[in-house]
Amino acid sequence: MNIDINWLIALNFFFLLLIQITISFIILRRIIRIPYIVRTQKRERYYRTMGNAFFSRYLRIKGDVFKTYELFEKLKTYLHVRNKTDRMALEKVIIEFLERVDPEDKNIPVQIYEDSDIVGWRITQLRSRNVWTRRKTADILGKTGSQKAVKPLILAMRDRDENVRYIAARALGKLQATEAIEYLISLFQDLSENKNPVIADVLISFGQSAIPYIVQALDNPNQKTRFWVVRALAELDIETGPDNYPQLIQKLENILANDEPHIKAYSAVCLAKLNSHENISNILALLDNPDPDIRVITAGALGIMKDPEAIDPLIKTLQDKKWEVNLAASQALISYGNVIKDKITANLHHPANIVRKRCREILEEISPQ
Amino acid sequence: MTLNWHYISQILILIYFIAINGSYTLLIFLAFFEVRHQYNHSFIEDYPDLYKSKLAPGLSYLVPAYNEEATIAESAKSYLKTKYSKYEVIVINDGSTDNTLQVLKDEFKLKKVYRAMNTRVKTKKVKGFYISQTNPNLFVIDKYNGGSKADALNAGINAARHPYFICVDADVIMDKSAMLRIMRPMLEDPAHNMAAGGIVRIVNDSIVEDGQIKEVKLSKNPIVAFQVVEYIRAFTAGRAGFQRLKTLLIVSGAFGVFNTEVVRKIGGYQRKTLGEDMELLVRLHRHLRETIGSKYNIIYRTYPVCWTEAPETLKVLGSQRNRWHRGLSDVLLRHKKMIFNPRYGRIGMFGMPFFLFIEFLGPIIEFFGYFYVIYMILFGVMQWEFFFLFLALAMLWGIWMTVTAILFEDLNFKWYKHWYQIAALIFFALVESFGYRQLTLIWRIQGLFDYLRGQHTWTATQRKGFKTSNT
Repeated sequence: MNIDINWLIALNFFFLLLIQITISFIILRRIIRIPYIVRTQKRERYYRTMGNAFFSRYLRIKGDVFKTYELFEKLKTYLHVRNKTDRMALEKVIIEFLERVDPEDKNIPVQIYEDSDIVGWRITQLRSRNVWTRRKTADILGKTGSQKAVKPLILAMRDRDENVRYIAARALGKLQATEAIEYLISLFQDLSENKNPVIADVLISFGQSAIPYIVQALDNPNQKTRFWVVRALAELDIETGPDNYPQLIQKLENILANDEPHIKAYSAVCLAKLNSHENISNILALLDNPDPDIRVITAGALGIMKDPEAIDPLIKTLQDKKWEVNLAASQALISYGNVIKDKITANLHHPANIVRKRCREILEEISPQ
Repeated sequence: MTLNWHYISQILILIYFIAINGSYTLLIFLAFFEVRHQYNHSFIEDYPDLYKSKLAPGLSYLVPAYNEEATIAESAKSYLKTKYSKYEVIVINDGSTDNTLQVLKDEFKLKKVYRAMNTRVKTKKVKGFYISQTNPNLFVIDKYNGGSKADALNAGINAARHPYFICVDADVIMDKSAMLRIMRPMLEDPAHNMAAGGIVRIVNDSIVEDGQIKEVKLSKNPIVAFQVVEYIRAFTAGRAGFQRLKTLLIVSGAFGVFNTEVVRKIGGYQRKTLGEDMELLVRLHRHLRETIGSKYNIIYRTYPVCWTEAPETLKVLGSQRNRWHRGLSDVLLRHKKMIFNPRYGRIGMFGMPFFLFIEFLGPIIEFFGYFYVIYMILFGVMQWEFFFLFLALAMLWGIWMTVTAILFEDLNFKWYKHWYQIAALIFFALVESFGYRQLTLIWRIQGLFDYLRGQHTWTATQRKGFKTSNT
């Protein structure tokens, strides 16, 4: 075969050169970064050591407001934040501290963060032209717990970049900024679908404070928004508050009667938690929905509700062809406890094997030997 | 006109050489973009909070155990420490002949109960089902030995109650955040994300404390060091490249999350194969392509890390590579219909042919290459200058790809913090072609012959255990 040898020689040199460049890059990169790494790590060690010393002293005098204030003022004089390296090193140490300390002690590192010029500097970075800078800034502001960042982060939820809006929303969840809830809800229709579960999680993290906003959003014309607020509501402890939200049951019943099946199913869960049995027939109808996910959710709702009218339909659902559906029905029946023992025992000889298995399983749970 | 076989064989060798190296080079380039993309987006995905999520899908850990009385209690405890909102740990005692079950009974106060189990996936008979009276998330299945890990996993799949399951080996360490990272895609898009896998790294000689890696060290054993280089090349570059092309065909058996219902639908793990992890994924691709077309994702995350022990002796390593090649041969034969079949999209047109021509046939062609060299020498047709230049080119191209994978590792993961560790990796990358590669070639050829002879047995790998900071 006549391949020009020169080509082979050239290719060999080419790959030899590539290997040398790659290895050199690996080595040089490490060497060049050494001064920066050494400097940053030195500052981090300094802040960490000082912080540990002052924090252990703080724990000894905790409760004495005067002494704590004095100690804190003394700490601030030692911090010496001079440049960007110092800022980032101190910020990193503060975030570490926030992850370690008890909730009641978090105010100390947060106050240091606010009193140094770091939080102001970070807030200006939310307006950076570089989208990665804005994203990272939003993320860090959420971790530092500073309430000064709330308003800038709410503004950042209107950023042109979807990820900045998303990260800002998450950060506001970490800061537990209730004034942001309304804006969070508006993000459901704005963000891509794969981000909505996280936003819903953020909403759930607000707990009872989110409920008034969610009640308002139940009328939202956007289906995605309605779905996610109902989904979030289904995870909240709403049992204790129905008297505070008289419109809530009415709106949920309206959704149960008229809305899209997935939203109906989650509203059934909410109604079950609110112990509202009036629309049981609408809920039972969902057990026949062709979508197995809806049947699973509905079975779960009926298990919370424990309505006697639901027992027979749930027993019938034990025959469902989908394993996860008949499992959900089984778990719902288990929650009824001993009241269903006779009915379950009567089905121990059911012609369907799966019903017999499930009944045996239920009996074992409700009356263990 | 007589055919010049010599000329034709040289052309074929050249074509094959360009194809194999070209394919790996393409994967390297694609891997670069994929790894950077995932690295950049890793913080956007905010893994730490997922453990608190009330919306996160539930997860079943399946822990097959055969004669693991020494480690099973600690292993189960480590999984029970999982920081996740909804999970269960199902230990499957696969007919152990030692005291594995008794150890579990004593440690976790097990109580035998009746539990309705799905029977869709075939498995050996289950003797009993146990719940723990001390930990509500732990369940134990006691079953008759099915002769393979796949059979044990199938029993776990039948019992699993959550929409996703993960198979874990009893002797694997998972990074603390690994579970959260790998479950994140399932939270984001449960309708389309069917399976996910992560990187597997070698733990030999690293310091382990409280079930977590405290310090990553490069083993001084050259056999292990060569494997580290291979794993970096295969996982950081190879699989990331496949992920970019959406043609991922393997999710590591040591660390993979799957949609429970879909896996049940396709019959669970194949019990009569040695490459059950690859076989499952290929069958999953096949089923999904045939039913829903391309509207699904199999995800490979470059960040969640699982640490495993690599063989430290040539005998054990040889046995492992032999088994892997037998497994590969079996999978390709079982699913030969998919090769070059446009119905299976990129899987059929690139993924499967890649594994056939490069991973499966590669050792054979390379092996005959050595014979061809001897033939040319014996018949006096060897062009020495050409031969040495071509050989050098082949080696340099391979070395460049490996060194590039090490660069990716250093840019994105920085597991090896000290400069001498990186220098050692580069050294082993440079000398890999002088002996180690030839050994793996022999083992793979042996594996192929063993497969053709009908040898399908699996021999357990001896484990040394992890080094703790006290040792």
